[in-house]
Amino acid sequence: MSPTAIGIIGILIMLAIFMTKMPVAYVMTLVGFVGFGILISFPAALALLPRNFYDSFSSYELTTIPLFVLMGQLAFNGGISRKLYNTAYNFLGNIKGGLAMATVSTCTAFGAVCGSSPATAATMATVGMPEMRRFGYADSLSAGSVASGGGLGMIMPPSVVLIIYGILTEQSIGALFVSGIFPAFLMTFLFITCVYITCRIDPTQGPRGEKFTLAQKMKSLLGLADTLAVFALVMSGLFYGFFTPTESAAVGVFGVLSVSIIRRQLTWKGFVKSLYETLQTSTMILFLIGGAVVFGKFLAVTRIPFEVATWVSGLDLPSFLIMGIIIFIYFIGGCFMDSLGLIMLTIPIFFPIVTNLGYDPIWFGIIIVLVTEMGVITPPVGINVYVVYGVSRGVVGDISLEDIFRGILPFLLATVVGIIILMIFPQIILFLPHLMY
Amino acid sequence: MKLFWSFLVKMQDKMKILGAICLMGMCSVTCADVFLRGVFNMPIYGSEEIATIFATLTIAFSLPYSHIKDVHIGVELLVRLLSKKIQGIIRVITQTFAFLLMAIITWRMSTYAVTMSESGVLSMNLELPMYYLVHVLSFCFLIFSLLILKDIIQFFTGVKEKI
Repeated sequence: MSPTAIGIIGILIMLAIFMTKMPVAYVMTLVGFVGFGILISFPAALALLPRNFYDSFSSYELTTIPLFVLMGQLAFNGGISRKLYNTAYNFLGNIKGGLAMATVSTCTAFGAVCGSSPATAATMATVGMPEMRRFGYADSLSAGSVASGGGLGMIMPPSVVLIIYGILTEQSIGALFVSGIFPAFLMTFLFITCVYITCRIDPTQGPRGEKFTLAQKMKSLLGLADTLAVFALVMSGLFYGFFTPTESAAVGVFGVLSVSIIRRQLTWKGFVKSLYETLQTSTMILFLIGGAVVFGKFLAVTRIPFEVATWVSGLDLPSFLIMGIIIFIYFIGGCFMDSLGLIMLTIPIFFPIVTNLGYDPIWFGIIIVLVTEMGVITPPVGINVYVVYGVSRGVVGDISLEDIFRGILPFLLATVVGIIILMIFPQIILFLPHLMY
Repeated sequence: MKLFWSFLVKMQDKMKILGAICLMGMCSVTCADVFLRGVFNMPIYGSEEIATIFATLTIAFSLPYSHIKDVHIGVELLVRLLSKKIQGIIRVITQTFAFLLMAIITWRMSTYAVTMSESGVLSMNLELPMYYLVHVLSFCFLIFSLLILKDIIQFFTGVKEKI
């Protein structure tokens, strides 16, 4: 049997084992190990296992992940998210659907200190859902805005998914971060437009909230100065080359910790909780990376990435159509799999095709993150939907999954529009990285 | 047996605390390096290596805790449609495979540490013997494997021992 045939069988077996709910990281390790053993030799596969895991766990580049995760956890437990929400509420609360708009804006702002999509969704569900319920917002609009807005945390730097993509494809993490800023703003604008249109069609969906004076608005904005300063320090240090990504993450942790302590908003219990939550998330991600590395070694010896790239290059199809097919595959995959797992699994196959077609790797990274962002709000997996469902039941009581899924539909449409805009105008993504790198 | 499982769970709890300390250690060393370099132009020699060692230990010590908390993502799509009994059987089968895999990693990690020790591998700047780190990693994988084994045994005995 040819290595490619063994590779295809390996992938099919892996997909079958996925259905047993065995952790994705374990499955990738198991299939990669056995496949590599069959194709090369089992002594070689046995030597591969410890080396790959040790290399993944002791990679300096990957130390960025626990630190950025910790930064987000401290921001959450230190009450920074609530402050961000209050400011957005002060400015937007008085217009129809204003609270949902404030939620979306806060998701983008919170994404600037937290690199995880479910964490952003959970945070905003805790902070935003009770307020929207209080002002009589429809559950579909409020939950939809929280679940969809949470996805913006994946694209607004610092983003864990972008870090992983950068490491897998050997792209500058700084360039990827900076390229995510305009698309994040574009998506925020589209989501806000989406809320506006929804409330124009049916004003009962999002009634007006309280009105605030200019002085109150300015006061709330000034209250955010220290948080914004931390974000500016972290990002500018990274973009101007003063910090490595790990250093910027560590400075970010120190900054957020200092702000939370000075404001007396972080308790010892909250601090310890942040540390333990970070350990859980980081171990999950690093183990996933270790598994993906083992599976990647197996994939490399099957020559599948090379064969697929050659096959696709030989197709008599325009490049945008091939790209469309790839995006569609990511969308379908995102409906069933976690975005990190999906990216780690598929990048070795699709990345060479995309670069062969002449697309910019940075542009592709942002597009893929946006597409997988759709996956976090679509059934049947839709992790953000379940996060919002779980958290909302705790903070506002009864809410149905159907309401949430109905609520995300307009935002899903807005995401599709955003992706089309970014495909037609790649400059929106590439302008900043070309300017700075 | 109960005493042994209790010891394991207590062990993972202590390891979790060590993991959290290492996480803060990694952050502190990196921040101190940035501060000293930026303000006094005196970077900490080998800070990258120290941060990397802390990072490795952070993840290593958190491995058993990650199992206890069941944080590793899986695809629930099909399994949740099945009866609780079938779900339990599937779970014990996948856990057996997971245990075997982790046991192999534990074994190979200790062999790898011995190979590193024999070949005298040292870190680039501080010239630290890195095989100690691999031994620690191997030990953490061992605890991780045993915790998976505990779940398998408890499935067959039908008793969730109160620890």
